[in-house]
Amino acid sequence: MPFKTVLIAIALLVNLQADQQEFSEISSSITIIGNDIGLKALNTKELKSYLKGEIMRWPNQKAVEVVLPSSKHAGSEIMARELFGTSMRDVKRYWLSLVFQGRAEAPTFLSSNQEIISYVRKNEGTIGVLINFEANDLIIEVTDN
Amino acid sequence: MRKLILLWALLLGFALRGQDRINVQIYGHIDYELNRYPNAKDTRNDGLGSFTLGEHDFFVTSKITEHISFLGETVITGSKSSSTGFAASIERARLKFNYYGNHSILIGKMHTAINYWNDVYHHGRIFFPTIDRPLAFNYYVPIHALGIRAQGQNLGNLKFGYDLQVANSLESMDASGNSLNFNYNASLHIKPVDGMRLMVGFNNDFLPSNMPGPHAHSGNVHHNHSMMYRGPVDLNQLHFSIAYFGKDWEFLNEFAYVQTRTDSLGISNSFANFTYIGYRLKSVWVPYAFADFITMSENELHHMPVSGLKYGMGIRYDINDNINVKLQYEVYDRLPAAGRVMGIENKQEIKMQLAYAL
Repeated sequence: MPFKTVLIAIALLVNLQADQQEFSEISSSITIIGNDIGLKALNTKELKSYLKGEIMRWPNQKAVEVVLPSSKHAGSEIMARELFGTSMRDVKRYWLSLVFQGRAEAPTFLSSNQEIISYVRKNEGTIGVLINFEANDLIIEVTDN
Repeated sequence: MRKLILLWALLLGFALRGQDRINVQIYGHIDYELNRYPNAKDTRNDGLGSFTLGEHDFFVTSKITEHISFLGETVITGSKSSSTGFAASIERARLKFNYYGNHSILIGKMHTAINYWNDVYHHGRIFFPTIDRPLAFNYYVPIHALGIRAQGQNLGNLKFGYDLQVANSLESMDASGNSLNFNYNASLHIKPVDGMRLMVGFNNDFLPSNMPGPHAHSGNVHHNHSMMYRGPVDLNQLHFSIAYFGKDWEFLNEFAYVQTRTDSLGISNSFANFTYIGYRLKSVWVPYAFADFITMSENELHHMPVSGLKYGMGIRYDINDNINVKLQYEVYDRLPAAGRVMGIENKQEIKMQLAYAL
């Protein structure tokens, strides 16, 4: 099936007052990308649930696979603080524990925005986090087929 | 043992061949322990203590298809009965079929989701908040099960979860059962806030000849050898867990009520409770304290009837996300016990544990 990458320009849908606090915690330095996930936008609460491995399937029933910046990524601490409310050390320990419990599939940690984009582009059902991504760094192809 | 090593070599071989859907990790620990028995006449055990090479846990996960995944956990640990001094055992080997949303069917050997500790920490010492498991693990907890489970998780606003399991009876062996007798386990949990999990678990088993197999994982102390009772036993357990692991505070309480019913002495009611509290300092230091007790009825004919108290304090230091070290002081003490219920031997221990994940 031809891949379909969608850049979710985190127009995080601030549709609930309860989300407004969380929304304010996420800065413009974070960009979310996804490939064939059946969604074009997420609100903050949903985004965090997916990134924490709490939801196993997208609305289109594709398995959720999470791609995160690794410790070697210059922006990993920004991601940890803004999306998980903690340090990168705790994010890795959280995922280590969740996978060990058998309650989620292991995420993929990659060390650059380019690697994350490339991985997401190749794998359907993936959601990736980019930090300090500038559109002119690497153009994301958006196709209909 | 050699076959298991060969199996692991093959699995690692697959991983190294670029099968990016296979994930292999190793968990292990090295301990130091110094014991003192203040009431013992024999002081042979009093000394400078010793180091112990702990369990080494080979953990593998693999996504087989879009809906089916595998998880395996094989542990190599010290064994006095082995000629090499070590023995291997398959602690978990299960297939998971995620058929819709957050609902799955699991089949194979699993850790019984009866309480928080057994469902979350398994054999990964790096995740343990203290060095040891609660006392109830030595006597009550049906740690493993070989069977089938329906599982749901993170459902609704309260992040409700369920684990409904039918497995071979505790009288069965690790690899197979010997009758149509089953163990039933049901557990429910909610996660009302981040880091919190409230859980209740119920387990029922019928042991026609009062002979526990290795799923209880607790060896001689699980079985009441002294009475040599070989009649049927109805075994019911109710566990309740409160767990909160937040940014600063950590709290865990594991309560267990265990009832056995025999033709001989009737009903036995027994209890255990473990409480842990810790506080995270500068994100990497966690000083903590814990208290643990177990008490059994004189009518107990399945477990070896004991009563005892354990308490202590320690500190955990997270060197990084893959390694931590714990230093712990603990005391085993007696609780009032009557008749044939034995008191746990009075003991003081200083322990150190280095736990890692590779």
